[in-house]
Amino acid sequence: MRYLLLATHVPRSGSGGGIVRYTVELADALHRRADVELHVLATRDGAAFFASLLPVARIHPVPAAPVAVRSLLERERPTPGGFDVVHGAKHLVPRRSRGASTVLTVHDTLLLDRPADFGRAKRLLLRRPYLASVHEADVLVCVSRATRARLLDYVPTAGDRVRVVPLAASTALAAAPAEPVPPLVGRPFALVIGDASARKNLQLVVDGWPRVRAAVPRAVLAVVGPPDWGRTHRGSTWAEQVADGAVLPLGHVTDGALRWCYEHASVVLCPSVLEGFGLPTVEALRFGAPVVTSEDPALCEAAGGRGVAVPARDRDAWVRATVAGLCGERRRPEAAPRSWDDVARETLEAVRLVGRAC
Amino acid sequence: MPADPERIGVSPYLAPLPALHVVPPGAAHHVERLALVHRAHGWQVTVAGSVLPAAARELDVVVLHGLGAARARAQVRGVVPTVVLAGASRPAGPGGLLVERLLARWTSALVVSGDAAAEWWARRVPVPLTRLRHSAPDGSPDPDELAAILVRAAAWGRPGVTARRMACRRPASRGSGSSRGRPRC
Repeated sequence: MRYLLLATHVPRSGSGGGIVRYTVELADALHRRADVELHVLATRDGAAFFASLLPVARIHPVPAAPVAVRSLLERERPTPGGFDVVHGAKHLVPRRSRGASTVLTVHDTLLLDRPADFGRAKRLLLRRPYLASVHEADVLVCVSRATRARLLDYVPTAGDRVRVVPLAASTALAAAPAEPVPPLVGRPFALVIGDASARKNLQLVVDGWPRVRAAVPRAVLAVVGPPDWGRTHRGSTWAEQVADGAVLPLGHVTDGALRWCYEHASVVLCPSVLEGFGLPTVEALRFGAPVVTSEDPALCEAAGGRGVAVPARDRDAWVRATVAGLCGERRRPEAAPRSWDDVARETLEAVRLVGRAC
Repeated sequence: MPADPERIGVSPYLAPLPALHVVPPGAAHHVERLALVHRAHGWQVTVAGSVLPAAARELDVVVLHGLGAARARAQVRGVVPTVVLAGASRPAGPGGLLVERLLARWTSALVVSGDAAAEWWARRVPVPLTRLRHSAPDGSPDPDELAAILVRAAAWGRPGVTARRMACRRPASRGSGSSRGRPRC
């Protein structure tokens, strides 16, 4: 099966947010399969990353451009010919795919649900192409049942084309040797993963942290997250708590350090109010950390009944759940966790079941 | 477990929710049934014919019944999450379309039933949509499903508030945890 994965959002480093991680992991897993000849569409920067994975002839470069422009070009320009499948990994599929089955991965519907979180260019230029791609794709791969439900709110007729293929914990994370984070060694700590945007709801945890510390005085809140990309919402007591050492901002960390954090956190907190999947939830459970999530259906689905779910608006309940997590036992790491080979296999099954070709 | 885990991961009634239902004249009795159920679960529910922006700030969510009542979004202007129960209504006529396009930015969720969902975006009204799955024979929503929708809308926060607008209303103070200084408004 000649398979073209649209990966123009993957940077030279190959690392980034959830969608970049999805694309890189899926590409790696598809490339391992004997029944797939994987090609990628990538920027020249991204091509440098994929060159370590694929033969150069299977990397189809596109010119660098601002994200919104690049996305529109991806949508409007015909794809290279001769493929059985063209797979849009980030919101869009090409309008003309030259006879190939088109697959669109639907990570979430944030652009439609919370447009104010995005810049004007994305809001104005990408919402309609995104919905048009949903209407046109032969196969829609949703990363959770919750995302499928939101998608069907917008496009009720898409039900027959949707398959749910949940994600897996990062392969790189599982392969990396654990690297201790010195300020956390020997201390009880809660871990939060994510940026400081309003949607991630970090402020709920930060503002409740003094009450947690009143119950567990030595506890530290470790915050792992990418660089800020917009307005931040870290709570009103962030600076004071960082200065006191009650909160430890770690920024971006290596896979080894993140693995160590998962393996040693007393509890992992996932307070986000809206997610498409909730990878930190899955990764925390993979490494045996107890998890507290908000009521977000995708987070609860990712936890699969193995976490504690607390309403995001109930600050008292968050404090109680966090204290309970800090004082409780860790879980046993998963013996046979879901893998990206599973994700690739189920994606191909969806293509074969619902797609036009193959 | 919640009635619909794809809509919400826990029971929507685990924490109280202050909500105001705005209804057109003569329709309050339809809403009272919903209000009764929600009050029985500890929510603070008020039913009124209009909403004052100052009072709305104290609420977690405002529920607007019908496209007529939904015009109140122009007064509320995103100071509180707003949920519009549009039922099977569609924006009608050039004037109605224009109004809905303008008010879409102040809408947390527009709740529709039947096949109306497809028409809103097809008519270029860029509004967050939620489709009712369960409703009574008279078209009124199931109280538990509506509770889940309201809780989720409240959790998503105020609609139409971009980073710059929030910064203009609430300038960053020292130690607020904000990464950016006071913007030029």
